[in-house]
Parts: sequence; C-alpha cells; structure tokens
Amino acid sequence: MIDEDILSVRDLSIVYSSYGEEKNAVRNVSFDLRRGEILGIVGESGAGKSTVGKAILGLIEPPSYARGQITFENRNILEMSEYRLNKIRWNKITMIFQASMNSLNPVQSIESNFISVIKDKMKINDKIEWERLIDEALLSVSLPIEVKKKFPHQLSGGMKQRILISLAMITNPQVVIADEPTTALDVITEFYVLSVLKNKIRTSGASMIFITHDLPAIVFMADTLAVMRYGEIIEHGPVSNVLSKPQNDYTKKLVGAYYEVEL
Amino acid sequence: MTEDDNSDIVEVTGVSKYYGTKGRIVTALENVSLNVKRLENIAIVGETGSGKTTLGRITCGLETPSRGQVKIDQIESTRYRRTKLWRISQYIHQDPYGAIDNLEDVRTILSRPLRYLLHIKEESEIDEKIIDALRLTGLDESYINKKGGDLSGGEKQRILIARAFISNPKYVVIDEPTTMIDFVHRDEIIDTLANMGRNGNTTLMLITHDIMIVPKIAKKAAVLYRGKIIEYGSVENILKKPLHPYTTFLTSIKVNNLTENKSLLEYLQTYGKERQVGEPSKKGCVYSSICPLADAKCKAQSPDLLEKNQGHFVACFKSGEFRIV
Repeated sequence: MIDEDILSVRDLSIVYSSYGEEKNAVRNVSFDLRRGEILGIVGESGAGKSTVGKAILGLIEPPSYARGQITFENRNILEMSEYRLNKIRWNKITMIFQASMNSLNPVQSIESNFISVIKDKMKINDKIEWERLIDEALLSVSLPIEVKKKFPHQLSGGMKQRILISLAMITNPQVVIADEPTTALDVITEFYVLSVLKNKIRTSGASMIFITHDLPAIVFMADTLAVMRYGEIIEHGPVSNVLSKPQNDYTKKLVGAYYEVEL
Repeated sequence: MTEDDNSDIVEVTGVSKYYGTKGRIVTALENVSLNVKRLENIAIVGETGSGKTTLGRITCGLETPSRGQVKIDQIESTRYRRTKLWRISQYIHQDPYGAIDNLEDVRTILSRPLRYLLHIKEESEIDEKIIDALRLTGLDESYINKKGGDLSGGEKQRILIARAFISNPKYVVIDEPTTMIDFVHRDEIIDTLANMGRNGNTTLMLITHDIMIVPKIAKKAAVLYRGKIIEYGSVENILKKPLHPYTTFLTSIKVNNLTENKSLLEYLQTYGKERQVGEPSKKGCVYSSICPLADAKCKAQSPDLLEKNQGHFVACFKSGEFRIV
C-alpha cells in the first residue's frame, strides 16, 4: 500500500430536507482514503453510511445539501459542476449498488448493458474493442463468456452481483464505493462474491469504500474500519485494532455480537 | 399429557415437488422424509435454490406435494378446510416489506386472525389480545394505530410474528426471518422468536441460510442440498461434528477460517464457479459433481439417508472423511 491519500473527506455534514423538514443524516464526518486501501463502513440502517457514499459521487441533490470538503484530485467534489462530475463518475469513482436485482436494465442483454457504459463513459466506438473489453471483464469475475447473450432475469443473484462488479470496474476506476453488495445472498455465495471483488480490487490497485451492516464481510474485506452511528463516525482504525480494543460502548456491543456468532 | 402430545406435529413421507417452467421441469424436492416432533423446534438449512422454502410451505399446507404425503397434526394436509388448517399451522413470509399492506393499520392486520380463525366478535377483547401480542414481540400498545407504511423493516417483521402467533397455532414456519434486517435488530428478532417458541405449545420450523442463528431457536436441524436432505440430527452435532462434506464446508465458512486457510478459500472459489453450471446429474449423489471426495461409486449411486451415530443421519458414502485442514 502506498501512503498517499486519494480521497480526503473533511467535516462532511449532510442535511436531507423534504417538505420543509430538515434531518441531519451525516454530521462532521472526516476520513482519508489511501491508494489501494479498503475502508469498511459499518453501522445499522439509518446511520448515514449510504449517504456518505452518495455524497462522494456528488449525488446529493437540492433541496438537500452537503457542507464540508471531499477532496479528490485537488478539487472539492461538493463544489463541482454537473459536467465535471459526470466526467468523474464511473470513470474515476464508481459505485456498486445494493439492489443487484434492479440495477441492470431488464430489457437489455448483459452485452448491451456493458456496451452502453463503454460507449458513453469510455468513448470507445470500436466493435472489436467492445468484445475484448466485455470478455475480459466477465472473465475477471469468473463468469463464462456465454452469459453476455443472456438477460438479467436469466441469471442468479450471485451472477448478477458479479456482473455489477465487473460493470462498475470496467473503466479502471480509482475509487470504488460498494454499498451493501452482498445483502440477500446466502453465505456461500456471499463470501464467493466478496472473494472475487477483493481479488479484483487488489489486482487493479483501486481503493474501495465498503459499506455494509455485515461485520463478518468487513473483517474479510477491509484494511480499516469506521463505525457509524446517528450520522457520526464513532470509531475509526485498522480492523484488527477496532476488533481487539473497541473504545466505544456501541462498538463493544457490535464486536461482542460478532464474536458470539463466530464461536 | 394426552396421547396426542406424543405424536409428531408434522410427518413428511417420501415427498417430491416439481415445478414446470417453459416446458422444463425443475425438481425442488426429491423424495424427502422428515418428522417434526411436538415442541422440538427444527431448522432447515441450505443455500439458495436448495428447496428449503418449498419444504417449509409444503409442511404448513401452503403447497401440495407432487408425490408423497404430508400429515399435519395427524391429518393429511390436503384434507383440511382452509380455516381449520390456518388455526393449526402458520407461515411467516421472508419479505416483511411485501407481506404487509402499507395502507392498513396494525389493528386491522392483527384483528383478522382473531375474527376469522378464532371467531372473536367483542371489539374490546380483540384490542386486548392485539396489545398482548404486540407486547410479546417487544412493541408497545401505541403501535396499534400505526399504518403499515410507518413501520421500519424490523417493526414489520415483528408485526408478522405477532400475526402468526396471535391465534395460538400449534406449528409455525418462519422463512428467513433475518435476511432483510440489519445486524443490530437481527439478534432482537431472534430473541423474540425464541421467546415466542418457548411459552405456549407452538413448534417452530426455522428456514435459513444463516447457520449461526440456528442454535438460538432450534434443537434439531436438517441440511438440504438440491432438494435432498443430506444430513439430519441435533443442532450441536451438525454444527460441531458435521459428517457430510457439504455440511463440513458450510459450517466452516467463517471469516477467520477464510483468511487463515488458503485451501478453504480456494475450494470456495471453485465451488462458486462450478455451481452456476447447470443442473445436477440425475444419477448418483447430488453433491458428487463438486465433492472433493467423489469417486465412481458416488457418481453412479445415490446414497440413502442412514443413521450413522445415534440420532445423527447422513446421506453420504464417505461420511466423516472430509476435513478442512
């Protein structure tokens, strides 16, 4: 791992507002993401984990707003124009969403799902190059090449999730945000998909923010761990440190539940 | 105790279930036999597509088997009148978001089993019973006026549990109670279920892929693989002394094992890759296509479920030989 920050978040606060009511979803969150690091963010539903991920992609839309700084390539993502954001999204920062069942276009074959990304985001118009990229992407997540002719409903949950991983990473992004990529998969499929994802991240040298409520998955994947509750990061450090010496009461409870399950 | 109490609440004998899709026949269950003793909670463990939901639905009368026979409380499931059957057996659906109408209030949802199954007419009595049921699941009485849409996933799950238990059934099937719920609430739901199972005369069947929640609820467990029961016994034996290679593999998938043990991770990767390749072979053991121990005999003959140790059944020619080093 090279000690170089690729993304740095400072005093990030996000306020959701709807019908005149305001809700602080994220409060004063700060962290750095080094090149090649996998940062796990754990927390219960409503803790603000996904909101942080959305803010990094510039997906917080008015009337909701974000304050603070998210520095990527010496620019603040929160102040970028939509045009510039669109250049970064998918090409440099990409996201694997939680709903694998709905994230692929159901009326397009897997191949067309890939082609639209390659055309729109990578600006490649060479058909032979398309083929090569798609085959390579599918093989890198251990899928047979034949699946590209199939439609999303013909594939199992684990296969769709691996397609989403390869689709998100086809552009060789620098930062990958994975939001609950394995909920609703059984334990064998879950760890299999995670091992594929980890392998892919490590070989491409990208950094990842791995958001989940599943602590075993984080222990398997991540280098560092941040625990979120009520919109704040209450504990942050290397995974082994947080697990062996939890400081906060909530983290202790969480880690306690984890070890209970393990033994 | 009456004689009734010694009999099995559910007896499944030689049940097969086939689904037809697009001219293709999919086998969900193949020749499954299983008896559930009264007040002895059982867990059905298996991965996606192993047939565990189908087995659960068949044992509470929601589906009829294509072949074989299911007796619920000593009477064949197809001979019941619906209302009679729902008084005996209840089913908790795996998706709480889909099982509760967002526009209905909790009172309406929970009063239905009381009105139509127990034929209670007094409004005050209905309210009383609903509040009792809510309390048992850890919700307070203010929930009675809330609408389905105002509830979180965990609260919906609790309402579903309350709805199943409110008519005091003899047998409840719980399908994946924790998949939609985050880890903090997971333990609470499991504790609630364990409590509900303890007081009263209800037998639970827990259907899950999460082997870690099994010991808190069930005493017995059956492992399903591609529509067949490959191992059956006490939860302790299945978790600590598994005999079938698949059960050994399934119980050893934990983070510590995966990070420390390279061969387990490698096997997981071959398993994940192989599993997507089509149907299991019609001949031989269902696990033989991917089993590291499989030889010619495994590929030619299908092993029967036989008692290996006392009360511990396994369907494997090489039981106990597979070890994760």
